[in-house]
Amino acid sequence: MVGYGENGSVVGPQNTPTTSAANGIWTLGELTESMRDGTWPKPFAGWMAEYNPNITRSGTPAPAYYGISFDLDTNNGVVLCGIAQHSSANGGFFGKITSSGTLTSTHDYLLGPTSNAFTMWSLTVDTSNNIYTGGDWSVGAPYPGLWRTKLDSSLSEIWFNDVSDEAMRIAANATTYSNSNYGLRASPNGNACIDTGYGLFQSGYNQFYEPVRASDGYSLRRWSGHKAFQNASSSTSMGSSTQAMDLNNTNMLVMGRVYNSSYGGYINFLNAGGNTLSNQPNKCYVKPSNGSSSSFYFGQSTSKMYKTAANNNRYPWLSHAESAATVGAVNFTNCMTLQQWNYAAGWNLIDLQAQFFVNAADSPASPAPTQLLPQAMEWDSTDTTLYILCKDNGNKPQQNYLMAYTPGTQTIEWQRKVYISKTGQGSGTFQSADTHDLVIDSNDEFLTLVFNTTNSGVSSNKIVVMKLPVDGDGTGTWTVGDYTVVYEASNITKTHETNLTAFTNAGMMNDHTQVNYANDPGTPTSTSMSGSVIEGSK
Amino acid sequence: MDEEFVDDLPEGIAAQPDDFELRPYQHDPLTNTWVPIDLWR
Repeated sequence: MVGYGENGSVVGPQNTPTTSAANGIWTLGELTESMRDGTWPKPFAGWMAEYNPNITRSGTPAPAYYGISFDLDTNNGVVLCGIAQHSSANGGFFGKITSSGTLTSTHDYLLGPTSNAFTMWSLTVDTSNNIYTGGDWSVGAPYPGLWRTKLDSSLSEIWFNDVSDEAMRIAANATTYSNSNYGLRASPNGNACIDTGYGLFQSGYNQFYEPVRASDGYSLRRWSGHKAFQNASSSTSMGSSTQAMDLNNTNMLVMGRVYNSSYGGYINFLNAGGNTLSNQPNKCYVKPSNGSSSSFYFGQSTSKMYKTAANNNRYPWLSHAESAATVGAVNFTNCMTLQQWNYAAGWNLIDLQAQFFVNAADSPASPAPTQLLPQAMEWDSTDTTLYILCKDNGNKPQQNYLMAYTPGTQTIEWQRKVYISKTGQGSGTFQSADTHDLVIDSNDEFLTLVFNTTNSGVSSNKIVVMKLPVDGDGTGTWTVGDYTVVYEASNITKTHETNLTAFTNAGMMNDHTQVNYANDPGTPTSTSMSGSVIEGSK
Repeated sequence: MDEEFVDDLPEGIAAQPDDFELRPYQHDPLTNTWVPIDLWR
């Protein structure tokens, strides 16, 4: 009840305003106090929209778009990129949508002729509104390799690849691909980049991490003596993989998987340190604290570094454990785990641990989902609230979930299911919506979500973009172009078992000096296209 | 390099497929098979 007056209603009982309703007649004093206290209803200021890039070659629009990555510019506008499927060869595209949902540009992006197939991943916009992205290509060169570029806010090129536009491989003449979730990733202030890929090296497909100078795209290892590194399996034929990676303005984190016969099989490594890799990062290996290291390993994972300097040298990430391990009170197979490497408190401390479990009753899928898989995470500007975007393992349909979690109080502040389906193709058909980014705006007011979708098993040529308030408002069933979006409360549960520990910081990380530069994959060109956006409604 | 590494596959791990050098594969520990890495091409 507000303090100024008590005449919420002149007829009937007194009323108390909430953020969703203020029935009755109110004095200006009551209105002012309620707005001050954040208890007065306010209009929904977010939006949902369907974006059709309509990337057209030879009169034919691309039938599908994949691997969408995005970031926000300093006006909180959405800058996104992805892969456009074409019959000639897949290529890239860019789209820009303002914070109010207006499409301002769409560009077809080529590396040479349209026959040059390539991928592009992991877009970053820095605080000067410059854009960083990259990927791999295969056509027109003897061995696939990685390309990278920095563009200004008008998509004009600032740099492309290393000196003389040379592209990167894990070693000379070694087939090399871009990591599909991490590619080229830049720090928010644009002072550092790390190019992440994997290639056929030492009889396996092994990942590697190359520091890149943000001002000119040159390798810091090649030209300034910084360190590229890789984590090898004890048998290099087993290869290695990257599962989470991020940069903030000072530091970097990599989490991945290797096989090591000394520790019973697959294990997960962590690398963390300065984001320009002037020195090799610190390292450790993770296992269940109450059990063996034997074949405990994470699958789908994501990370977002902290934003405040007070949290330097703390490295959070979300994972789904693939191994069939019940350790202590937790069956890791069925949960999504949150944890951090608290290096500031000691190399072997894994804390902040929480386990999240799907509630089958939230999903219309049959059979019911049993697992939660992380898609993306994001911190508010004070590192107080963690926003988590994850999906269940239901196929018909597969559903996303968005929640606000406060680690300091171990509280889920709110949670929502985000069920995106093609209208008329509901439960019982394969529906999925995928993403690997979640970005909060500069005012800590809205979260942006961008999904590419598969509907009835067919990849779609439409992209779903959402700007949602950080208080979980906007619930209901939305019609968004061709899609129906159900945004409603969900019932994920959690526990707080402290079951993970770092067990060694010795060995297994290499100073990777063999990174090679050669061959130009083709001159980039960018062509304006006439995409379209349809705003959704409830 | 910090440790001794070998390139022989560990005992019990399935052999790499014949086209291993032509397309990327990752070992799936759950099924002990080599699974092509989807390249989105």
